[in-house]
Amino acid sequence: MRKEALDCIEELVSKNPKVCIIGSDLGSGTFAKTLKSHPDRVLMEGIAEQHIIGFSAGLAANGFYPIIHTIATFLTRRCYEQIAIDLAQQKLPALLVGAGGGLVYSPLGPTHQATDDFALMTNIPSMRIFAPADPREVIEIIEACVQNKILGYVRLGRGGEPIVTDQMSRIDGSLSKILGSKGLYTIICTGTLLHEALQASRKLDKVGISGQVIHFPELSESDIMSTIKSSDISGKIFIIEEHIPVGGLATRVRNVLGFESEIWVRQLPSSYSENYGSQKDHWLKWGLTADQISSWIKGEL
Amino acid sequence: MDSRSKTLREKVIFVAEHGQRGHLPSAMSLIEILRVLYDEVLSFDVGDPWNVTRDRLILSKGHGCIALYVLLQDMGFFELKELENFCKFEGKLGGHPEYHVLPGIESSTGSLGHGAAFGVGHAYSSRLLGKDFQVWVVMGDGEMNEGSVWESLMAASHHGLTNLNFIIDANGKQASGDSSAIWNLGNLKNKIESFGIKSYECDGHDVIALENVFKQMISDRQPSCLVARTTKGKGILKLEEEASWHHKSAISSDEVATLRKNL
Repeated sequence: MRKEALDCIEELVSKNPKVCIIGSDLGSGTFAKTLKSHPDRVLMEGIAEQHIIGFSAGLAANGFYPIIHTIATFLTRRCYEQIAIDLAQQKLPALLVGAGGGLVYSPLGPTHQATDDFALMTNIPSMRIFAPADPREVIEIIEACVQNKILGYVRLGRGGEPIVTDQMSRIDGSLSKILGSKGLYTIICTGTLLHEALQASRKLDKVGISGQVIHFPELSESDIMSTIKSSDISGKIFIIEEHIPVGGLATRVRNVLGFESEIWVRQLPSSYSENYGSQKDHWLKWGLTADQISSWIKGEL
Repeated sequence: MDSRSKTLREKVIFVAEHGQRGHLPSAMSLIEILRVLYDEVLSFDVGDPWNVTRDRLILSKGHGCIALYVLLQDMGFFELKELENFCKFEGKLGGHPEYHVLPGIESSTGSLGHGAAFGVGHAYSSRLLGKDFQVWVVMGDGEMNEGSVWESLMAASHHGLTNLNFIIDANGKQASGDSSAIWNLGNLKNKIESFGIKSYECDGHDVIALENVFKQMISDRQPSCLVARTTKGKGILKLEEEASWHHKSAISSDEVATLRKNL
């Protein structure tokens, strides 16, 4: 997904003279094409996250749309106040594109594990938060953000994700998507865990348990509200998310349904991981793989 | 102190009288810097305050905002009543400036260390827009404790932003006391110069010296910085000497009268 996202961003900067790319020492080869073709608007800045946000705000104040890209934890933690004040409080638009969302950078340790990114960005007024599931969706989101000059944060997946969102139905003109029909369960998810959710659903289908999967590529309570109303969610609700308990998808669903509502949640703990390994290793530890999800649901029904 | 400087300081007291609070000493040290910029240096049109070609002044040391508000009102950016509503619930001018709430206010500052990066963005934008405007970022010497400022100095130098001008209101004091006792930054001018910024130093209350340096900074072919040596609370001994005035709330009418008398 990252490659497709960066290709899309490079295409946008080539087409639109108001788009700028701001990187923070991203490594050789990143944005190589447009660093050459548009060196004035594709800027590989130093390792200075606080600066690049304020700098981008200055560009935005002059009508430009900065797309800021670096590792998700650096982009959401180090420069939080710059995002809050320089961008959000001043009502200046920019797109923050975080590499290595969730546990993608698991082997690199807690400094690189972006498991609290939704929560941090949630507290920024007007910030829209996106967690696409596949390359098709990330392109759709980035293009929409540029077109509408949205202040947004995009959590990127690891790469190599197959396109699955084209098999799903879009809900009510939002980015939200649904697959399956009313049945015994509804899985609610965001980001690349959609792939696990869809596989889990297929496994359940095979044993005669029908249900639906709803994917929210934007963590938006209004989308959740309209989706729940329009799709007439049935059966037990199971939420899976690659995020700490507060400030992510489950929090939003609870806000919409009420804290007394009966929902089942699997997510990451509120602690820094003591493990390295792969993203998949962590999903396995916390019961977020397709096999574990299908067994969990079967067990609860 | 000439009559213009005195009148502006009287208006600072007027604002504090209405709001019954404020960072008065920090505003007083800024008066000549801002006065010379608005009177002699900046290009702007109060009838078209956001014109893209305007010079930008970013008050990064936002707590000195009363001085900025007084100058903007004096220039005609907004009415006197806005000053009277300083820090009031329905007022537009708060204890730190907010971007776009009124014409002439170019940035939201108050948390220190933000203005330099924002200024770099503006200065770089002039290149992209093909518009020739100057960007001035006014910081405090205490603010130079913030690491983000130095990130932006490096960026300004790297990009060769000749239209970017930093001013440090070096009044030598911050909230807890003497700046040199809190973190001794040594020779600030040399330190900044070593970041690739053409640097100057002068008396920050000498209007002739300030004007000369500002004009030199505009003509420099590299980003520049003035370390303006000022006196915190300049003009009123009480403000100069008593650290408790750094930020004062519930300022009484007696205290206002004393300030006026001692100006």
